[in-house]
Amino acid sequence: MYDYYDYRAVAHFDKKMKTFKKNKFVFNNILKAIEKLRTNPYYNSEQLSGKKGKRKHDLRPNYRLIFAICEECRNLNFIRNNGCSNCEENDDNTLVLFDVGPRENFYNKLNM
Amino acid sequence: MINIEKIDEKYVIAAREGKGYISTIRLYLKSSDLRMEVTMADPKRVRGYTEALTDNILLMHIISKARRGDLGTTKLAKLVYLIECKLAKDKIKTFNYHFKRDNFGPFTKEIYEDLEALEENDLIVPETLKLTERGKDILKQCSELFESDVAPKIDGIIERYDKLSLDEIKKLIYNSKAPLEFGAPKKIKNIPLGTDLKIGISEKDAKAKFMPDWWGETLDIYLDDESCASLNEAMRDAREGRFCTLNGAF
Repeated sequence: MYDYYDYRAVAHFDKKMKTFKKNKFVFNNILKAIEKLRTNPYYNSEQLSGKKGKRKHDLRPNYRLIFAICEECRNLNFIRNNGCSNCEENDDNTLVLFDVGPRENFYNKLNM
Repeated sequence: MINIEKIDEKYVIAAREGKGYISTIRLYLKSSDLRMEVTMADPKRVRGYTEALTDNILLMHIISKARRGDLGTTKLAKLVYLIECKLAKDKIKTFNYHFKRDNFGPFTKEIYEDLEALEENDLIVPETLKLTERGKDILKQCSELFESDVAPKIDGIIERYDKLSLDEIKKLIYNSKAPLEFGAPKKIKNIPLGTDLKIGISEKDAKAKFMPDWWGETLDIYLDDESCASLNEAMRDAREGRFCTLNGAF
């Protein structure tokens, strides 16, 4: 556990963030969530079952951010699951941001 | 343009007091007047989101397990009823559907909604009631879920009743007893049409359940085609080294 974590985002995360730029509420909430996670990524986040090595953090309005903590990934041997090609470049106190988007979408297509 | 916020206050109050919530809103024209009809749902008979996801993954499991080749929506619904009903008697929580007595035995429209959602998310082919390649892949990725003690019990019921024809299952269910909300259990054929059947089991009464709570979020990602595709793309980026620098991100 470190005092402060760096982060790296996969290109897809960056692309998603650009789509949220028009929605200031969502965009700012994501930035705030990232800052919170940088001080304590274990707080308010849960490991995703079945997606070993990844964690999720909930944020308003019903969104979820999926990330990995390099320290946890190495300690629990999830390196193969996450498969980051730049693994050696990241220190233990790095967060890898994978994805962000709305939750509970399964039935949404029925209402269209 | 109709403002949905102008919904009658009495429904909002009922929802706030936990007496139910709005399940459907129908807008229609009557003698050139726009009318609104609101249906309230009983909170005791509404599935939670994670419960609904559990139902969907189990539906996919039945579809993948059915071997007789005559699985249609009606037979699927009957198998669901048998699993939910029989395992609830052993205090095992599996499906979370709310059945009513209908013309052809126990019925719930929730199954039809789920099949539609599974189709929309590219998990089943509705015409043949078979899993798509994505459906098969998702089920494989959820294999850990089917390693629990509950899964063999579910499989046992599928194996036992899938062998029967639809008519045989219908007959069997017609003559079986179902617990009711009020009063002693009765044979399905003697229950008045439209009566709610109380076959499920609540979370607090269950000794075991098929899906652990912590799987809810993962299923939400797996089953929703957009979330799943999005995360897969992110993982592909990670594997192929497409990262943003700290300063360049967002």
